[in-house]
Amino acid sequence: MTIKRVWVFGDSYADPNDNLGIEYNFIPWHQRIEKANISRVKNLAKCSTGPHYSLKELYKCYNKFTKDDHVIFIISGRDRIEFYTPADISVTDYAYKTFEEEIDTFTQKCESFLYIISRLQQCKVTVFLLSVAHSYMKDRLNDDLFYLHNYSLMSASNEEFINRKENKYPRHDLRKNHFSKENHDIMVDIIQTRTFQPFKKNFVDPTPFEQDQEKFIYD
Amino acid sequence: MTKRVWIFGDSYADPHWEKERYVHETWYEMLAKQYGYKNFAMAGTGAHYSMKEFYRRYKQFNEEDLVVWVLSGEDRIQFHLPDKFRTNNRGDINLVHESYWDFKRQEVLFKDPTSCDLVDNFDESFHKTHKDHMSFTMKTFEKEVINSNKKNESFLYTISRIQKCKICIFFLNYDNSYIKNSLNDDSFYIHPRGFERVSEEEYSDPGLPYYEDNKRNNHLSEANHKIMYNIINNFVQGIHEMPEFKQNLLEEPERKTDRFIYD
Repeated sequence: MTIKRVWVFGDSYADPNDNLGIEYNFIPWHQRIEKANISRVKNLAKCSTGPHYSLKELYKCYNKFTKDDHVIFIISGRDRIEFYTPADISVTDYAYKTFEEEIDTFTQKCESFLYIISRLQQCKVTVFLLSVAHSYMKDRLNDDLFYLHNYSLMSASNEEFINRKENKYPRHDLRKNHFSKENHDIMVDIIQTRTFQPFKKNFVDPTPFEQDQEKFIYD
Repeated sequence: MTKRVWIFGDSYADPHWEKERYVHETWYEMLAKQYGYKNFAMAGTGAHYSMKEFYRRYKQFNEEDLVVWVLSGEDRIQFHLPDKFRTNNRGDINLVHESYWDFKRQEVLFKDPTSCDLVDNFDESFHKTHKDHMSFTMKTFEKEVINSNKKNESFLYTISRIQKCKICIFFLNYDNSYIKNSLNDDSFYIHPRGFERVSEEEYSDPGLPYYEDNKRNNHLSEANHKIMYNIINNFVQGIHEMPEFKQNLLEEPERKTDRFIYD
């Protein structure tokens, strides 16, 4: 069965515009799957967004998917809410409190909805999570149509650094989509084989990166 | 082997709905005689309210649990009620559900307090001071609200796979379902008829526009409470053939007005 269309949803892990000003000597995973599959890729990923944004994009197209489609969905931070307009903190706080439980379960609802889309539309769905701790399904329902990669992308990014616990985190991540070439290769492999493969660890020297005293900052 | 039943929903399942009632057994009372029974349904609420109770419990379900859901209006939002407006009784939940989002006009409107059960405790000050807050909230989450039952039924389906419990769903409006009855099996069932239609079709002359304000328990006549129980019981027993809700049981609604209000 040939996949004719690939749809990518997510955040900076998939956004072609991430670190656009930096030249890399490799092609990022989301562009390589287009070449590898000879299929058209529609990339709707956007830096700094979460499932609240990505689902809005998904709602526009999910019921048109068929067996010719492959949906790659990165479920990012559940608390990344696209508020209607900049507003007073008391107003955003009110909105958050009204939907607090729904925000807390964004990841579970999102992965479930994607699973059902794979059943009803018979399309392939591949899911990555920023944090698998928020997942309910994990890899328990994986099959030919649905694959959830049961390892956090955030951990995979962090673990690229040598002696990660001893070194400080970089203030600005200069890697493309938070990954070095080696793990872009792994991403492509996972998407093509839809089987678990561990990300490569402990091979990036963090010293060239500008250091942050407190934490790793994701877009 | 099913040992416990958990019920989530709105007035179609609420055992404490304070309306004048006909004396007959309801569908959930029939279930309560058979199984350990917990009913969280509350009139006037939607899945946004009921899911909060559900989230606390679903990971404990197993093959001995039967979960019955009435997936009600997606636009029934339990708006946050700040402490100073709280009375810590059922009226709080009613109060926040008296605001609703008009999708066409893109604004929050309030139900007429004289047309519902809030005449005694309706506090207009909450609505007046929080109208903009609620409007901002709905503009931020509008797409999530519109698609919430599609995600809810998806979530319930995956729970039926992972927890191995039985989940039985009734929609207020069957058109709101994405799954419909396409994935029905021994552990998961969506009834292919919306409750709005079932209630209306009990009348031979529902009138147009249709509005009901009679004493039917949970908007259903006794005969259809039995049908409802039989549908759920058949699902539990693994019987795939389901009885149909009865129609034309009543002549006409007791009162007609400009809109149908489900409590």
